[in-house]
Amino acid sequence: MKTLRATLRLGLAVTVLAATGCGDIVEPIFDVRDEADGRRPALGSDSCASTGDLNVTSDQVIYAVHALPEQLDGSPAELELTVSTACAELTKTATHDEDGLALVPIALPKGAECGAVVTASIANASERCVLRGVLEGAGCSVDCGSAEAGDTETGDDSTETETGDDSTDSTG
Amino acid sequence: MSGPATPLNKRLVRVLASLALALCAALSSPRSARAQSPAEAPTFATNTEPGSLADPNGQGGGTNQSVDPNRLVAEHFAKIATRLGIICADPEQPFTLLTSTEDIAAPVVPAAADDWKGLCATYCGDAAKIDLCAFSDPALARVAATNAQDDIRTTLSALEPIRKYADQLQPLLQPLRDSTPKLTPIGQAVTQLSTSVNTIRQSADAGAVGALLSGGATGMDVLEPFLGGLARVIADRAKREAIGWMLDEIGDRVCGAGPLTKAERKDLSAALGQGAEAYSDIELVTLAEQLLRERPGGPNADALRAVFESPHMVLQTELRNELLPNLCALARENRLDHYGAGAALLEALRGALEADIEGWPGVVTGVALAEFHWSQVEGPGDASAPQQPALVACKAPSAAQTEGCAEVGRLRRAGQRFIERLLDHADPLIALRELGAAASRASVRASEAAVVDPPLALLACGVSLPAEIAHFEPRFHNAAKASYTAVLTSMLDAPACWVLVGQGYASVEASGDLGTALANPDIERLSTIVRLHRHAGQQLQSLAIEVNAMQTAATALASTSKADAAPDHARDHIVEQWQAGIAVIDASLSLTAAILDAAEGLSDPTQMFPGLDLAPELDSAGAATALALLERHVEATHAISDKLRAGADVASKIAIGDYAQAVAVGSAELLSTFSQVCGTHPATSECRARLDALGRSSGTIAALLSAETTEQMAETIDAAANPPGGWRRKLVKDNVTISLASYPGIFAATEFRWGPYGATLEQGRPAYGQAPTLSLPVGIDIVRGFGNWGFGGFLSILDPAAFLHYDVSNSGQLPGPRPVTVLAPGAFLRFNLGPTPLVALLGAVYRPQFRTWGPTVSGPGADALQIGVALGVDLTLWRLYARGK
Repeated sequence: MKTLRATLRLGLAVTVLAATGCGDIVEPIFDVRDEADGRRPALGSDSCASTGDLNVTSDQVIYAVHALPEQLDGSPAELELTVSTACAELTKTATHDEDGLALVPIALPKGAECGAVVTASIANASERCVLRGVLEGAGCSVDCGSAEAGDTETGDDSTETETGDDSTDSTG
Repeated sequence: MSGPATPLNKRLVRVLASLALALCAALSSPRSARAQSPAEAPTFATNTEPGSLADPNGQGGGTNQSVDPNRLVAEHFAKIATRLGIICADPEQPFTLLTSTEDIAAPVVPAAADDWKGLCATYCGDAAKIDLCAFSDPALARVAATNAQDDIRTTLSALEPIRKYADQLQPLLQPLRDSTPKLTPIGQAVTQLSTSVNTIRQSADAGAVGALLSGGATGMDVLEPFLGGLARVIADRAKREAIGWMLDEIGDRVCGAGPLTKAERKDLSAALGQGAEAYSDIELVTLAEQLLRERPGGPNADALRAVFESPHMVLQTELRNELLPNLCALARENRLDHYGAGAALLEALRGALEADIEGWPGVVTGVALAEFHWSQVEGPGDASAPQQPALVACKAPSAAQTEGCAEVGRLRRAGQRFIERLLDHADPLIALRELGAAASRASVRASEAAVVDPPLALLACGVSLPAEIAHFEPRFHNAAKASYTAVLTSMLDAPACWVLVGQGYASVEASGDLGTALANPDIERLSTIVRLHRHAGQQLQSLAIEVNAMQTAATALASTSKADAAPDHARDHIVEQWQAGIAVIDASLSLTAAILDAAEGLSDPTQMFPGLDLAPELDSAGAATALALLERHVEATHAISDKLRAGADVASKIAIGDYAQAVAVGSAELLSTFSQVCGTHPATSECRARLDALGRSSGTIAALLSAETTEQMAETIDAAANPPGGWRRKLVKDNVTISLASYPGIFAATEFRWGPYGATLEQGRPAYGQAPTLSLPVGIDIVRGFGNWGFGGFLSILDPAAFLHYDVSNSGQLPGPRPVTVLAPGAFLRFNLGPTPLVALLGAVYRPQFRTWGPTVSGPGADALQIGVALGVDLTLWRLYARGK
């Protein structure tokens, strides 16, 4: 019993030592901008820091910036961006450059006036930025019309897929 | 002889003269054995069937076609004794009774009544010097006629009152002596028989070999698995490594890395002086031995002697040189390297083991005999200074020349030779007889001219008798009390028994001591016959059952040896022969035991065994009686007899090719015998450790030798390396075991990560949970046993099941496979959950680059430190070190 107690104490001590010598996890930083600014977000900055200044509309081009932690040597997977509005959902994939930075232009689909949500997923990290629409807050009402579902855009380093819902209304 | 002639004298002479004529008639009979050619002389045989060599009458029923002359002599000698008894019943009127019972004519030779009184006092009755009247018993007369014809003649010629008659008888007796078939000397006869038996056996063996060489089905049956095993062994490198491991294991533990331990080397170097450190072990030992021989009392002699007398060194030498010489040579000198790595390697290993095992029973028997003798002649020792075994005491060069050590050496060789003779297919009775002769010599110390080892003397006599009895009993086949007659005759004829029963009591008395008596080649035996009959007759007559059993076994052996073996059943025939041979040994030793037990029923053992000199020992023993003393000797004799039986039993297993059984039986005897070498010396633990190592290795050796193909041998070595149930040994109290082990089971832990994992950089926080998952850690296990449980540490190295450690914090993401994923260096404390192989482990394992998002060879990954508990089953893969039982 004495041995068992000593063993438990030792195990606890190792655990505490391991825990106290640790820092917090460093996750990717994701931001959405209205200009093609390829600056890497400052170390320690929050995700979606620029998002609050935007008031988006349909067909507006925004730029998603995704920065992997600087210590990472290469990207573990493709970056997957998903843009959701009241009328449609757009998915794009992209890859990071050598510095672990990905700058992806996104033309917001119909319904963005009521706001949009941009989600960046890669491996075990997922960030979501919520964009305010220009009509948001004034009783947003949008006619989604006949948006074609399943549109896909393919660029040099990105792939886009769009799905629509004819009868979707969304209010802010 | 100066008295006047009387009718009585004339009658006596007439009686005796008629007997002489009868003797003459018997000898001159054309049907007598006088006509026998030397070639027809009886020789040693165990077969008593009609027409056999052992039946001198050639009829099995005793017709007059061929009469044993000894029988005629015995009949007439008995008649003389009978008449003498009648005369001596009343010496005053010697012929009163005689004339009433015999057809007596008038005597022609004068004799006085006083002469008759003197004659009867000397030659008839309990008080007589030689009680000739006792030979009225046909059995005794037969013994005398067979064994002491010269004594009959001499004694009769000494009868003063009938000297003239004796003179007249002399020319009649001479032809009797000449015509008596010269018995082929026992040794020669037995050698002949043994040779013939060997010839038969060799023929049988040749048949077996021929069957194999002829390429028939039997040969192919042997060849096919051999070649198959060869191919498989060549293909399996791991098994070859296992052989190397096993040899190293045996080499280190049993044979020893070298002749000297570090301490012994240091002691020898110090004793030999400056510069000795540079010498090799062998050079050191050689120099030390030389120094001890030249200067036994030198300044460093005691220090040198102490090294040589160390039980550890003695035992090591025995193991290396006597028990496993071939295997140790292979193990120590890496000679197996020259055999390549295929079946030849395994066959070389098997050959070395077989050669070594064949020596085991001889070593065991020899050492048992030697140590038994040593314990008898050197005394039991007292508690404060326990007696050293002979193997140790006689190891010192200065002790090797002592009389006791010389006896011990001879006995050891005799024991080894006994087993070698058995393994050479010699007649077991002869092997026993030779052993008896050697033991008899060792039991009498020349310098003391006395029996110094009574139990050994008893054993020597006992084991010699069966061969003698087998020789004589068929001659008395149709006589009354045939077994008794044979036993009595054999006791007088066996040299190994002479030191006990004497060759002539009167001669011993006259000589004053046994040494002189033994040196006297011409001593009479009639008095011995009478004395044995009078004091031990009743007991010896009760041995008929044992004698018959022994004879039956001998007959069975003889018929087995003569039988032709079919080539296809040659091995069965050899087995049958050996079973018959062992039956003979068993029956012989049972007969020996019965004779010894019979001796315990003697009213006065000093009369039966004058050579034992029981009376003086009785004085020193205080309250003990001579019988009690004899019983003690007999009990000790039984013990050593059992050792002989055990040695023969092991030899029989070897002879029929059952090496595994031989090892199983032999190792137990061997460990028992050699455990006394370790004794109570300070270095006992080291000594016993070597014995333990030998004991542990014997199982592997037995398994190797029982394998019929090289493939089976390879599997055996694997099994030896990975014995099932290894966890049990770990739990034995005070055992310390270091092994390569695995603990398959469930593992749950708290996990800390450092490094890139997926798109994140882990820096130790937060702590994740490792859900209970299958785990298969492999590593070094260090355990100490506490009886019903074990405690120790486990240093894990690998975990082949690490790929299954899913990440509960990331949707059950499995670790991306990469080469280092299986690495799991860690340390655990481990506890057996009771006397079971279930083990709880508590500790930490560090897994480099364990958390990797996807398959990669050198991509990023986070190291993981897992601190947790596991519940696993102890699988001991390979024992690396073991201390304890």
